[in-house]
Amino acid sequence: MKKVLGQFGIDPRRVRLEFVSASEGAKYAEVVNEFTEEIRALGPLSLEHPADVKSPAHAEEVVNV
Amino acid sequence: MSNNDKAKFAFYWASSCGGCEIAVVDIDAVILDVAALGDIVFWPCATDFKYKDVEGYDDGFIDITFFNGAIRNDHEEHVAKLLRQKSKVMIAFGACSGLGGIPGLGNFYTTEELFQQAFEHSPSTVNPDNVRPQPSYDVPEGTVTIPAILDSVRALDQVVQVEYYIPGCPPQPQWIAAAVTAYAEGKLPPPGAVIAGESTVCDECPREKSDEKSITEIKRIHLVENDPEKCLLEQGIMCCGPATRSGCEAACVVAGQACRGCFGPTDEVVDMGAKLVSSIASIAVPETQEEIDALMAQVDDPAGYFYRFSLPTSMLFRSIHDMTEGQ
Repeated sequence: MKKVLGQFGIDPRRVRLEFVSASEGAKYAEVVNEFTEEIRALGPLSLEHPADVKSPAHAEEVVNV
Repeated sequence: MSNNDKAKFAFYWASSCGGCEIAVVDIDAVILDVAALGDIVFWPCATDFKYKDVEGYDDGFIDITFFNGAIRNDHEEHVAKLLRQKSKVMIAFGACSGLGGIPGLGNFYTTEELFQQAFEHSPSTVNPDNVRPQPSYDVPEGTVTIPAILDSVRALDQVVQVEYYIPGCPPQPQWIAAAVTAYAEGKLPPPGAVIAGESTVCDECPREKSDEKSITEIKRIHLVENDPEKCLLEQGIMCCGPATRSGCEAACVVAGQACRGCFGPTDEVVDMGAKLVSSIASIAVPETQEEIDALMAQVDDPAGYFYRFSLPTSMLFRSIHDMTEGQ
């Protein structure tokens, strides 16, 4: 996944894979907070999608999150 | 020229290899039905009609245009718009026209990178003066022009409205015949339909599949002998079957090749490459990031593999040029 995104020119730091067990609430919060800060530091992703090219149905929702 | 009570068909090639033209001829005797049903009023590959003939037709004069090839330059864009105006039904014919296809892989690079490769770095190029093609050039006799390349490759429906899609690289004769027959009988499906199967290539693949899928290494198909009876994915060979629309009767897989995904995604799939990444991930044994990196290191060009025919119609459309990303 990171490799594929890298080929699209997307920073691999935008994806993180972490295993958190259902019993590890504190770790879950920690990972989410940490990752949120990392993404905030990287700033928004500027996709070069021409305005007149329609995105596939769900793309808009994802891009605008 | 044509008389008025027969249907009018047009065929066009934009950024394509010519394989779709062969596919039209490959429908065998059905071509006679096509000839009986209608007149061909434009087909640059096989007939001598000119662009000015098309410009002279009334709007909607052509009943169906079968348009193959992606939109790579401004001339193809112009002809797509012209044929749209003159046609009642526009069919995106083949993977390039429907999804962006192989030319669409150009969207992983900038135009400058593509030109550098084509006119400087490719092993067969000798170009010491670094001559580049100019869209227009003045000569004593006047100005000569060639089409200008666009920033990105587009699928046909990213330029004009498209009624139907006949997928494949190239399209299979039975689906071309199905489209012609449906038109002749007045039974064309609702606009937007893809004229092919509705499930996946895996569903029509005769290879034996077990429920337990687990791969620990990825093998390249030309470097191993594959078991002709067994699912290629289970043998560690990447196959696009799980995310690819059916309708080809698993032709490549039956012939011993992995599915390349030319029929594009099924109706349920928004982004074919993402779906393929997900299907590979679900059968891969490795779990930690390091193990996954080691597995994926065996794949040279995963984005090119997973988006081989569908990059321009993927969620991302093209790669990002912003050099601050990916550092």
